[in-house]
Amino acid sequence: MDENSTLNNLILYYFNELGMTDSVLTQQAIDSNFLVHEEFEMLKETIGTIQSVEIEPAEKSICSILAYSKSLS
Amino acid sequence: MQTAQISDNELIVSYLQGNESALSELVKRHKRKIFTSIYMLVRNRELAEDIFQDTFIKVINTLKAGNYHEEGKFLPWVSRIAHNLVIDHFRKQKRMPLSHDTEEYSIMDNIRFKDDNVQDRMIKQQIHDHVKQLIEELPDEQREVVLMRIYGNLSFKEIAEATNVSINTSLGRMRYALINLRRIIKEHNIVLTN
Repeated sequence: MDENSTLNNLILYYFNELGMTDSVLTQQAIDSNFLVHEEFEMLKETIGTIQSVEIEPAEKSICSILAYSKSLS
Repeated sequence: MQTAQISDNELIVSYLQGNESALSELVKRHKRKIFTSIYMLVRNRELAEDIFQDTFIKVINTLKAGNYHEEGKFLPWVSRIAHNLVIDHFRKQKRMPLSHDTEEYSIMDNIRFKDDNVQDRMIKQQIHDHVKQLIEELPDEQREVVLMRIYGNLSFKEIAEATNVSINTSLGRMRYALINLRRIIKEHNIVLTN
């Protein structure tokens, strides 16, 4: 398996988009291969870094949405 | 009502039965992910607020018209609507986003970290600029896939359909994005603290 397809599989595995058989094989690779394990840890860390930031919309926007809905009822 | 334990679908049913607070809970539950993905694409606070409102107005109209058929996939569905509105906007403008926040109206004012611990927040505040910057440094197509997958919870198949490319292309863009992000993280010496 080349580097790209390993990373592709790890990405799909992380997001639960692999079929059952490929999931099992990928988990086995993570458990048994140090390089794959390190790759997966880096992948989790990178995605975790992105997920650590969330931006809040203005309260005014929320109020406008809810007011629009009420105006229809 | 224990709203945290109620599924999105149950909230939708409740809303369609006239319970306005169910909509309020749906918005509250998903507002940050939706808004973050819109903002990171358009990179302009005012425009992001407009598209965010338009997104939920479209959501409300579709729900009220009885045309919602995405049971169990509310967030990906709303993300697709938001993404389409972003694309529509830039199609009208005939250009990709270039504008950024002004200093006096900084996105920093409304940034929220998931971890509410005060000490963690102080540390994370320091890395926030870098994280936001590193996402913005990605090429448009890679940034789009990252935001749709991580914030919008769309599968790679759904992203491929929404962006008119193959699944392999959308997966490849994600792969390049993660490689780029890792490189930028290393260059900026960003350390994740959680």
